[in-house]
Amino acid sequence: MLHGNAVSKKIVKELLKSDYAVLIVLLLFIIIATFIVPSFFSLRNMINLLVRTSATGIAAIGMTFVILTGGIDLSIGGIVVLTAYIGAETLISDLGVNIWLTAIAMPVVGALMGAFNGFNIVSLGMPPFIATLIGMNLARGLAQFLYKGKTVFGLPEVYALFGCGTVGGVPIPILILIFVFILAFLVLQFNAFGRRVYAVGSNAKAAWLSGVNTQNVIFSAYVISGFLAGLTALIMSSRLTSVVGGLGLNLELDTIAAVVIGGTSLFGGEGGIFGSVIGALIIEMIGNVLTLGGVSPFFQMVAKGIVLWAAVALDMTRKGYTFRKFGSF
Amino acid sequence: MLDGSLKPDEGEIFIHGKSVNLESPKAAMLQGITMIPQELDLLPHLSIAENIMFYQLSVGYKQVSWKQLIETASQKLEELGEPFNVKQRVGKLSIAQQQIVAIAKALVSDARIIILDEPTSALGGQDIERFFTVLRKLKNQGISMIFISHRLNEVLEVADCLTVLRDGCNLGTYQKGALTEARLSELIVGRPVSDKYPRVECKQGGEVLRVENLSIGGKLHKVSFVLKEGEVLGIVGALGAGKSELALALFGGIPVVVNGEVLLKGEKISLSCPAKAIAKGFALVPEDRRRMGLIFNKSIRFNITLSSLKWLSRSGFVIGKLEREISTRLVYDLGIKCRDIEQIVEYLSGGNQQKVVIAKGLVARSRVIILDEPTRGIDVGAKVEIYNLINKLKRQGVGVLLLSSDVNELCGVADRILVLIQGRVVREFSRAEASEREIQQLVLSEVKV
Repeated sequence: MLHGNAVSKKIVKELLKSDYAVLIVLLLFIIIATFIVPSFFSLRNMINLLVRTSATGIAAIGMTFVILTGGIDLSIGGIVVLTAYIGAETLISDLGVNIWLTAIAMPVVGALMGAFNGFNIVSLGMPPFIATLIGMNLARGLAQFLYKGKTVFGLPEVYALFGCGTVGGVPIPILILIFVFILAFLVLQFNAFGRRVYAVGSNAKAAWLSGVNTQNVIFSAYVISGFLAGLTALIMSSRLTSVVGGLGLNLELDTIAAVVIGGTSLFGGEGGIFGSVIGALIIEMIGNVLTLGGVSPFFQMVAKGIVLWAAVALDMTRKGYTFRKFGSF
Repeated sequence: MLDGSLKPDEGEIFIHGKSVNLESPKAAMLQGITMIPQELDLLPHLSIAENIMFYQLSVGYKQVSWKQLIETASQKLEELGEPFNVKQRVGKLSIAQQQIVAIAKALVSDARIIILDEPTSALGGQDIERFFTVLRKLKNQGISMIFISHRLNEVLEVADCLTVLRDGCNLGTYQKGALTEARLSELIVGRPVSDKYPRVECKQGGEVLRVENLSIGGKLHKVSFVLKEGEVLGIVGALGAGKSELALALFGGIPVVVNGEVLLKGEKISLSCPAKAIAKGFALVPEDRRRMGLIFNKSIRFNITLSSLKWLSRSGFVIGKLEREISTRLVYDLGIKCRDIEQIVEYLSGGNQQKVVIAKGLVARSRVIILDEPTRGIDVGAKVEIYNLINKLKRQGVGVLLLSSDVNELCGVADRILVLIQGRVVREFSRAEASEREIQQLVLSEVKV
């Protein structure tokens, strides 16, 4: 016989263990934020927040694929700024390419950069951390070298559609996020490729011996991550209707934080994109609330650090890793 | 738990009549209890001396006299009758030698009780004898040992008294000589084991696999054999004879240069990767379930269907209903004991995990199944179930390649036995001429330690 207290304890325990634990964190955040900054809960701010989240969220979905295979992608921010310049400056301003064609070209360019990462990891055998560090340096470096850090203005008004347009009152970036989310969710949950992603991240050797082409799976994950980074670049540059040299700076770190807050294991094989998108929302909320509350922007990084710490500490606690004796690792 | 890694929910532990609280391995060590785990906890890059004296080195910041270290370490080894050069790195020693080092390490911290967890599972016949000699020496020095093993003949030989555990329950303690092997296996399984090695006769079909002059640099030399449909071909060899390499090579799992030809039903096939091997109808049950056989943190269903996702899905999407049906049927057919098909394989027993690996091969509609030490580390009852499974496959006309270091097992189950020694097939025995003793001697005679 369980006593009432024990039952409620058990419920809390089960809830903390489930994949939806991140929702509790989100709820807590919303409550705290509403108390501190009353204007937080306004419709306008909510929409603004969700639009910001769509860019980070899409990038975080790409990052989730990579982390599920047991890798990491540090090049996302670099890919964002380089594809944004290539799209806005080279294709539209210099070559006068059609806006719609550019919108398709940007994710493809991002995917190519992801393919470069994947090639270095799969074919040249580089560790993902190093390979994507190279990707990050090359992408951001090329963006600075080729475009001299200038700000691209005067983009056609139609271009703002992807970032600022609405369909039936819903901002287009949010619709893009929902579309990407559903697609990625279906792939990870019900598709053979999704299965293989989890298998490779859990135990690459056993997966390979079970007939999984591990190299293809890993390569594809980086291509997906690059593709979605390109899509993020489109949304970000469209929302600003301009491109600046600092676009996507530290985006890779924000997305890694989002994925980890969402409960995906950094060792691979466990987790999913639902948590990552909520994680992205939490990350964006921190910046949003602090800005509304008039807190120094320099403090934002500290706040993100604290939240990340709390999220990982919670994760470790619910997995039972905390305060173990050294010998039992 | 006795070594302090786990804490008891209830109950007490008494040492020399005193109740003790073992809250960490260190506390256990201070009470004179040391555990030598199945996977030895030695540091391969350090010397023997450093490993033996590890606890003494890791306490405080005292200056260490290298000379004294070496002297104490070699003295301990000599007491055990195993003088080594203690400056060698541990990684270069054989498993048998490392085991001795682990015991010496326990002795320098004044262990009075040593717990040995499956110490012989990685040893060959001669090494086991040598190891037992060391254990007897320890016994004469007044050191108590708890010898945990699933090898029945060994515990019967070496132990003074014997406690039988099944699913965590104590089934009684017996004095030496009070139990026979048959009675012991009955106790462990919970019912009489009428036939330790069940086997069926069935008609063999045509040739399904032909291997010609298969060589892998330094590991295998010109191995040739033929496997027929409905045949169980046993390949016996000591640890390091090249069994696992052979199994992996046939499956395309060895990325280095492999020479020789493999013909499946007369058609030459290339050994480039496991995915192709599976497509051709091969299945592998590798020796190491945890590292190579299963995705440990995923469900039974996930694992069973992993090799067959292609034909289980329509335009890339896995057909959930079909997948669940097939998994459920296999779980039932193979008698996998589990809550349901969504149970995580990590929480299954060793025997049931092994059945999941085999099930994975069955969904992939294999024509040749390669089993590498399929019964290592599983209990007697589960072993018999695995043999029954092998017989079932045989009746269905599947060619079974059974690689093992257990001669009794092969003599009991296989139709033909090849003896593999240092990468060469030295002899072939038909079932009629196979004698356990002769094969055992052949296997051991060639192993130079």
